[in-house]
Formats: sequence, structure tokens, C-alpha cells
Amino acid sequence: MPIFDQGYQHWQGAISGHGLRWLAITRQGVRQQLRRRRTKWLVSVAFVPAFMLAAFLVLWGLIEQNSTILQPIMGLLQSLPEEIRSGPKSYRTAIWTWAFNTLFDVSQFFVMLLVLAVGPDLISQDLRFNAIPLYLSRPIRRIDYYLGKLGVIGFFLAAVAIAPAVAAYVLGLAFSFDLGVLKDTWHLLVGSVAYGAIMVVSAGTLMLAISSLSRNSRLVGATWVGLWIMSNVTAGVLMTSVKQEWCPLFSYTTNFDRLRDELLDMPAAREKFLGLWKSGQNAAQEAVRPRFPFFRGRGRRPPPLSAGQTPPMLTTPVHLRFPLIWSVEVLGGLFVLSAWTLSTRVKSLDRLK
Amino acid sequence: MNSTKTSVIEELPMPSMNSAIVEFRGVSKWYGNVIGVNKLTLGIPAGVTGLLGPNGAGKSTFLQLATGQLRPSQGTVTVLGHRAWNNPGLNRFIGLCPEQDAFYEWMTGRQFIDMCAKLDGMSTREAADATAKVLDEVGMTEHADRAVGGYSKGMRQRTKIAQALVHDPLVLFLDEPLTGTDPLARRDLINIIRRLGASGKSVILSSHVLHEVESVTPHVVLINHGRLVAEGNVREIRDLIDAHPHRIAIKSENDRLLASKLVVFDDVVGVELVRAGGGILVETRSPDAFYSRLCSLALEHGTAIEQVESQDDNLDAVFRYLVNS
Amino acid sequence: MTPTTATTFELPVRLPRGFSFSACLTHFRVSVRQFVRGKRLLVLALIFAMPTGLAALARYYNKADARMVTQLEESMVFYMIPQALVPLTALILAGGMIRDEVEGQTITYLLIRPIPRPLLYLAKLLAAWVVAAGLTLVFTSTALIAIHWGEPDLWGTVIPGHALRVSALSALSLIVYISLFGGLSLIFRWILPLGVAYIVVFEGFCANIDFAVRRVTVLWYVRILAERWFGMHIDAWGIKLDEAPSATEALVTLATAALVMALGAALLFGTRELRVKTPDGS
Repeated sequence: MPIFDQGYQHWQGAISGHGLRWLAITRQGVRQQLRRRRTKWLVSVAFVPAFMLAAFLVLWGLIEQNSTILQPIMGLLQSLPEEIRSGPKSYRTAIWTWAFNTLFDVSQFFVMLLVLAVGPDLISQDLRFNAIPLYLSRPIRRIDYYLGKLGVIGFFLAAVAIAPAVAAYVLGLAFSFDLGVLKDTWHLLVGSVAYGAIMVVSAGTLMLAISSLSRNSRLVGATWVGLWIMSNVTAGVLMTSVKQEWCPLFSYTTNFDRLRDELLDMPAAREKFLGLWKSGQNAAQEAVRPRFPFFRGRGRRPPPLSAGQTPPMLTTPVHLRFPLIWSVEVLGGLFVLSAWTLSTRVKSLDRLK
Repeated sequence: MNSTKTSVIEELPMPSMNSAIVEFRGVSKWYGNVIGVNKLTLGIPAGVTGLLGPNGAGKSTFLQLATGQLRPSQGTVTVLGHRAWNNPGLNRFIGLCPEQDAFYEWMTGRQFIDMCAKLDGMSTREAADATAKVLDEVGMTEHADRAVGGYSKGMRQRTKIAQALVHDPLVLFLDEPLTGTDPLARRDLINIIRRLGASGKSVILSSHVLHEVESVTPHVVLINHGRLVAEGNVREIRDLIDAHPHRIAIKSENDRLLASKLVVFDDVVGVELVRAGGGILVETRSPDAFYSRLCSLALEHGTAIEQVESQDDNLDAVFRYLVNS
Repeated sequence: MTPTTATTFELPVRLPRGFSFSACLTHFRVSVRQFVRGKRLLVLALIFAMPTGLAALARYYNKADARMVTQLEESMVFYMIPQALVPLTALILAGGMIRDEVEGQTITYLLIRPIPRPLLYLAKLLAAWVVAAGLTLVFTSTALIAIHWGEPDLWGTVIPGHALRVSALSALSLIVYISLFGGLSLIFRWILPLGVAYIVVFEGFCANIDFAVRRVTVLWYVRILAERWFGMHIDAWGIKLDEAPSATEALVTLATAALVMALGAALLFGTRELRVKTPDGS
């Protein structure tokens, strides 16, 4: 009695190319995750920073227009420095950069939580229930399988990190009524997308690699939590005790912060704010200088500002004062390690029991 | 009728009809909007009972209710006269071979069964002795000191049965014990179940494999969609289904001639010629009258009977009919 | 085979009274073995080894700095271990102690034994606590060895004194955390992120601010005990001993909290159905 192929390996009809096969796995994974209340809740909460960014950019656009809508809060706006009130457009780039940086800073917490929520099951459950042969017995290569699984994480991270940033940018652009905004801030759009993509690839492959190491998805989640929290704690402890330039590299999220700092060009924004602060300080010192004729014309100038007096938020944070290339190497190394782990753990048609 | 089958069935002790070992009274169980069992009232007597039903019929729910793992949403479940739900004392007298293929894979078979014996309250010595005995009973002594993770499906099923037996329970619940086993392992497991029944244990065996249930016990409970469909001796159930004609397959020297002779009788409601000389298939409302007539027909010229087989006097036919009706 | 006569018994059968202590002990022993097997222990060991590694690195880079030892002890032993490692360990062990059995479908073998369900739960909880406390003792000792390496009283005072005292306090906080996370794991499937949020936001943040909310954190009472019993004083804790509860009050509060949560969870476990998924999806 002949034994026939199961599945559709004897299918004679057309089969689409490999380009989009991963999409079927991603679609199924996303649908499965969206059925869970916790994922929907987390994604909803993760949008809050994006709404706040959008609101801020809209507000800034109205400030630039000197819009009458802002009449009710004019009193509040009076507390802004004179330089900003008189020429807001010259601070546009710095303000936008700071706003986007803050969004990503806050949303990073939700990103890590989302990876914790959707990531652990992806490969560990397939290992546990021996589902990998079901995938690989189809004309799907391992790379399609990985991309499909990565796509699930990518969908959610893009939903809370990239898409809101792009949407907020478009809204801010719309409320500025000035195409010059695009010229001044296009690097933020590109930087945001690039930053999001780096997070997706790095966090996604790392989570997939951890997920492939165990059949217990809870243990995978615990490892992710350990990596996230304990790496931050480790870096903090090293910075206070060892005090070397490389200490912050131990924090996984600090490496993202360093990359983001460069991609959004935060140093330029800090420089701009620092200049504003310094001129504010000088004006304040001028204002309190005694008006006695005794001092007039004596040419005594106020003492110069020392670096130690600069507010910390206007200088590069201590934990980001290391070469960018180091973070690139750390994240790159983690990516290579993750890719190697995946290639050894997920074997073609293995008997997994 | 297969004479070998008859003798096997007659060997086993018939269940007592007087006292129920397991009693369900108006039991319903639902999971959200899905009903597992639906107003089930049933008493299972001592002896070996087959629990039958298609997928999703409620067999596993039934067994989980009977073993106290689930609480009935309505009604009462009693086993050996006691409430089943959350009654740890009762667990001393019942054993369960669960459907799921799950173990502490890092343990050896012996360690696993020894652990189960100790969890049942046995001392170290008692547990070791009981473990050795039950391993021998299920034929696992040779493999007992290997990790369970390396066992075949048949070995795993035997180990599950062993852990259910180690504390010598009065009632044994076997949830699909034959699933996934090869024919040899299946035969061995059936023999074990028969021996258990013969030794006086009450066994409730849930299975899809109808002819194997039939070979173990004539007493069956059929459930479908969470409801009781039929209960009792499979032959008695069959006899009660009057509306459904009995189908009898006959091969003779001249099928067409025999068919023409049979259609004149009132109790014959249908005759079908089977292709390629496969004989004829007769449907009759009165099998007893038909069989008595068959003898005289066989003596007539041209209609000598070569083979007679009743297609309906088996569990499969009963099951299909009841489930589909 | 000659069939034997059927065994007869009267209904209802007489049920045994009470429960078997040896059965509970067996369950406890098996649970301990489960907790110390496999990758879970490796993950916990790696996490717990961090203070030791960090201390060794810090000593290497600051050989001449005498204040380094005090700073390290403060940051590792009084911050990192009690504030991060101990609750995280409790979360990893307690969060999965029942759920792993349910998902592995081995819970059935426990539920059909003549052991009352609350005792099944409590034995598991105790096993988790023993393993966690053992890990804490071992790795606190190694961290202190790394911090105080080369000191003359390392084996005379530091290890028997500091290590045991810190481990004892950690064990006390562990039982509270394990009771909490064990109970929460029966209610919420998503115990890991919930536990992380609790550790980071509640214990990590609220315990360090001088406000009424710190009185419901485990960390605050543990710090009070550290100050009152062992004289471990850290300025940053912001504890005013004349206003803080006494050691007895702190101990009773922690013990009561652990007892209430453990018993409550045990009772909940006793009444809950634990549905094991079967292949046909019932």
C-alpha cells in the first residue's frame, strides 16, 4: 500500500515566494496576543506618553503661531524665558528633540514590559508542545520562522514606540502650519524610526533567544526581568563603586539611551538649552547687582559660571558619557549571540521530546 | 456471533446491580457558556464499566467530577458513598490513570511510583514493597530504574496505571488508557485491565476504542453532549433499540435467489446486494424470527448459506446509532 | 485465569481520619527537588552571584580605598540583596510553584492523593522558602567574602556574624514575599510583570520615602529589625528609631502578614478548581 505525503507537499499549484511567508506566523502570533486582555491593556496604557507628546507638540505649534487659543493659559506661558517667547521658532528643534527624547525615555519602560508580556511564549511554547516540526515540515525555512516570531514582537513595539512617535510628529507638523518644521526636525522622524527599529531587532532577537532556551515561559520571563532590572542595578552599583567609564555598559537599557542620544541629536538640544540657561543666569545676576555709584564703572563683572553649577538635565547625563561605539558593540554583540543561540536551539525537524 | 468473544465476556464478574459505587444525581457542570455534563443522573455499580462517547462528550469531565478534581455546578457526585469534591480521605480508596501524558520526567519509574505510594501515606518500607509489586503487575520491573523521560508511550501508560494501583484502591478510573499505544502495548494493557476486573476491583474505563472496551466488559455507559445516552449491557441496549432494524450480512451460493426469497417476509425491511460477490445485507425488525427462518432457507435448493454475520450486535453499531440519533 | 470472587465492602466506606504527616513530608521533599533542578536554579544562582562579582570588581579597581568596604557592604548587602534579589527570587519561585504543576499537568497526581489541598499548598510554599533561604545564605556569604576578602576577622566575625544576621533577616522577608506572590499567582496568571511592578514601584520606591505608605512595605520592617537587632544603620533609610515600631512589633507584623497571606492562599487553593488542559481541549 503506498504511503502518501501529508500536508501540502504534493501541492501542484502555485506557491508564493519566501518573501512573505513569515507574515503568516506573525499574523497568527499577533492575533493570539491580542486576544489577551493584559496585552490590550498594556498597549493602551503605553499610548499615554504618545498622547502627551502629541498634545505637547500641538501646544508648541500654537505657541509658535502665537495663537489666540492660548489666551486662557497666557499667564502660564509668561513664565517661559523671554528668548523663547520672543522667538519660539529658533528653539523649535531643541524643544522637539527634548520632547521626543522624553517620550522614548518613558515609553522604554512599557516597551520592556511589552516584550515581557508577548515574548516568552513565542518559542518556548513551540518547544514545549513540539510544534516546531509543524512549522518546519512546511516549506518554511528557519529564517522565515525567526522573522515570523520577531514580527510579533516587532508589531507591538512598533505600535507603542514607532507608530505613536510618527503620529505625534505628523500632528505636530500639522499644527505648526509651517513647512520649515520639516526642515528643522526631519532628523527626529528618521531618528525615531531608526531607534524603534534598533529596539525591535535587539530586544526582539534577545527575547527570542532566551525563549528558545527553555520550555518554561515563566522562566524565560524571569530571565528577561533579571536581565532588565539586574543589569540596571549592576550598572548603578558599578558606577558608584568602580567608577569606570565602561560601567554604564552593563545596563541593557542604557545602551539604548546612548544610541537614542545620538540619533535624536540630544547634545545639540542640550547645548541650546544650556545657552538659554546661561543667558538667564547672567541676566539674573545683572538684575541683583547693587546699583551704588561706588561700583559703577569699576568694571567688576559677576563671577563666571562654574561647570558644577549647571543643572544636570542640561548636560550629558553621567551614565551616557561614554563613546557611542561601545554601545553599538554591546548591542551588536548581544545580537550576534542571540542569533547564534537561535540557530543552535531551533533545529530542523528535531525530535524534541 | 463470535464464540470466542462470548467466552471472554462470560469469564468476567458481572457487575452487581444493587449498589452504586459511583453515583451522579442531577449533575451539571459548565465552564462559562460551555456545558460539560448536563443533568446527569447515573449509578455505576461495582465491576468493570466502559465509559464511551465521542470527543467532547463529557467523559473527561465525568471522570474529573468522580475523582473530585472538579466541583459540580449542580447536583451531587458520590463515590463509595462519600462526596467526591475536595474529599482527600476518599482519595485513599480511588485511583486515577489520567489522560494527560505528564510525569516528573527526571524521576525514574520506580521513584515516581514510590513517591505516589508515599503521598498515599505509606511508610518507606511499605511504599518500596508496594512499588515493586505493582511494577511487576504492570510488567515494568525491567525498565523501572530508567528515567521516565526515556520511556515509550506504552511504558508511560503502564507507569500511569501503576501509580493508580500502588495504594490498592477499591475503585480505579482509567481515562483513555489505550490512547497512542501500539497494538502490542494495547493488548498488554487490556490484559492488565481484565486482571484487575477479575481480581475484584471496580474499574471505570473511558475509551474511544470501542471493540477493546467491548472485549473488557459488556457493561457500558454511553454519554454524548454531556448527557446519558444509554447504560447497561451492550446486548440489552441493542435489543432495546427496536426502531432500528438489525443488519445481518449473509453469503450464499446464490445471493440473488436468497434475496428474492427473503423480501417476501414482513419483518424484512430491506435487502441490499453487496458488490463483487460480497453477499447480501438484510435489515430485519425481528432478528429472532429471521434466524429461525434462515435455517430452513439454508436447506432449500440454491440458497445454501456459506456465512452469516450480525453487523449490529456490537458496540460500534450501538454507539453510532445512539450518538447519531 | 480463574476469576476471583468480587471483593465486597459496605457503603459508605469508612474514611481515614486526619492526614499523613509523612505524605506531606514527601510532597515537601519532592517540591524542594523540583525547585533545585534545572534551569530555574541556574537563573537564580546567576542573579544571586551578581553581588559577589560586582564586589570583586569593585575591590579590584579600588584597592587602596578603605571606605570601599563600607560602601560595598551598604550597596550590596543592605540594598541590592534585600531590595532586589530577595523579592525577585521569591517571585520566581513562588510565582510558578502551583502554575508550573498545572501547566505541566502533574498537579493531578497531587490532587488525587489523600492530602488536604491546603496542606499541599503550604508544603510547596515551605519548600520554596527553604530553597530561597538557602540560596540567600550561600550567596550573601560569598558576597561578604568578596567584600571583606583579606581582612583578618573574615572567618571569625564577618561570616558567622554578618552573613547569618543578614540571611536571617532575608529569610524573614522571604517568607512574606513568598506568601504574597504565591497567593497572587493563584489569582493572576500574569504574576511576573505584576510582581516586578510591585518590587520596583511599591517596595523599591515607597519603602524609601518618608511617608505613611512605607508602613505597608516589607522592606521597612526588615530595616527596622536590622537597626534594632543588629545595629545596622544606614542614613539613607531615613528611619527614626524613636518613632519607628519596636523590634517585636515589626516581627509580629511581618509574621502576621506572612501567616494571613499563606493561610488565605492555602484556603483559596483548597476551594479552587485547577483545570488541567487535555489534548481534546476540554
